[in-house]
Amino acid sequence: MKRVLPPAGINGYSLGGYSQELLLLLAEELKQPLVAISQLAELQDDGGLQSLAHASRALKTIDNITLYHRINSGQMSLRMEPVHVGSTIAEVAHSMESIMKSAGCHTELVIQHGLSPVTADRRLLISALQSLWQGFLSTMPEGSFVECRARKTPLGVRLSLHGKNALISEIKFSNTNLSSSQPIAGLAGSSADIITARGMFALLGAELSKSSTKQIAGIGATLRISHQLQMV
Amino acid sequence: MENILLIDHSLATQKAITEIMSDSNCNVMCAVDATTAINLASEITPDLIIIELSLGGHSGMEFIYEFRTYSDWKNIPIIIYSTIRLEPAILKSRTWQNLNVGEYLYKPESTLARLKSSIEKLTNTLSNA
Repeated sequence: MKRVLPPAGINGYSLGGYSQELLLLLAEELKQPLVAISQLAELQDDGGLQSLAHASRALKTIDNITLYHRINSGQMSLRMEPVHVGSTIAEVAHSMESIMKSAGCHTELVIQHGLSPVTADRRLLISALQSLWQGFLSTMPEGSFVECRARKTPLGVRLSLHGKNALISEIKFSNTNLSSSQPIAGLAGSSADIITARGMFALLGAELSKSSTKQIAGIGATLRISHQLQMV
Repeated sequence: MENILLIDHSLATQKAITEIMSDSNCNVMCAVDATTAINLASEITPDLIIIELSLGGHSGMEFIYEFRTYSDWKNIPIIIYSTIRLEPAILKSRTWQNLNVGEYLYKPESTLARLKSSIEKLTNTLSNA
């Protein structure tokens, strides 16, 4: 009998029902010690900032992977609606404050004035940006500036993260397969966040890609503008 | 003195909550499961319940449903402090409103300071009632 491999990509790497349930159970299990670390760190006299930030970062990764798999498997449905980009970015930046502080990095938000709302599931967009931010941060040396940009393009609204010292030149995103579980070439270390971000943006109909602004390297995605609220 | 009944299997959470409330006029009673919690509440009526939804044996939600069936426990405030994330649709549902839950805090996103503030708010509301 001729033996063949299943097609590579989404089908080849997708999780079966059992594996998916196992992954979600594992995620729930892992939250317990991480929450315990956060609580004990908060009780320390010096605030245990580093431990708190590491635990918070891992908890966000777990939450975002879980959300992605729930939506991707149909356990949760997308709620697409007009979403204001500025307030969403501000919320994500706020949620990343302690992690940025512990990494010794700084945030700069550059949001073009008068941007139209985009069509997205707000919670998924927040998680996608958090994942992208955490993944991007792991490519940056301590003390760097992370610039979060939102600007209008002919294709929609481009959301991107940039950093002068970001080590992303070797990263190669596949243009043909947006599966979250496909590895990304050139991405070393903690790649789970970037892979999750790619999967989440794919669910939002956007493709993660590298970009450059004023010769500063970055990663981002372009979301479709919502025509529902363009006149508001 | 306010009696707080904490139902959580995590020793770290028990230790943390006992410590943050040590400077207040509260007595924290700990139970690791729903059955122990019902027995404790029968002995000393709590002024506030803090509960993790993920418990061994009966779940936290089962406990809350059961707890609210007793008329003398109907108005005791409950804080859910859990690693289980509840969707906004659940929190807005009529069933949820009927359970009279004072606050829901998702553990991974809630600091102990935030929890303490909720405890103080609910116990002050009790004192002023």
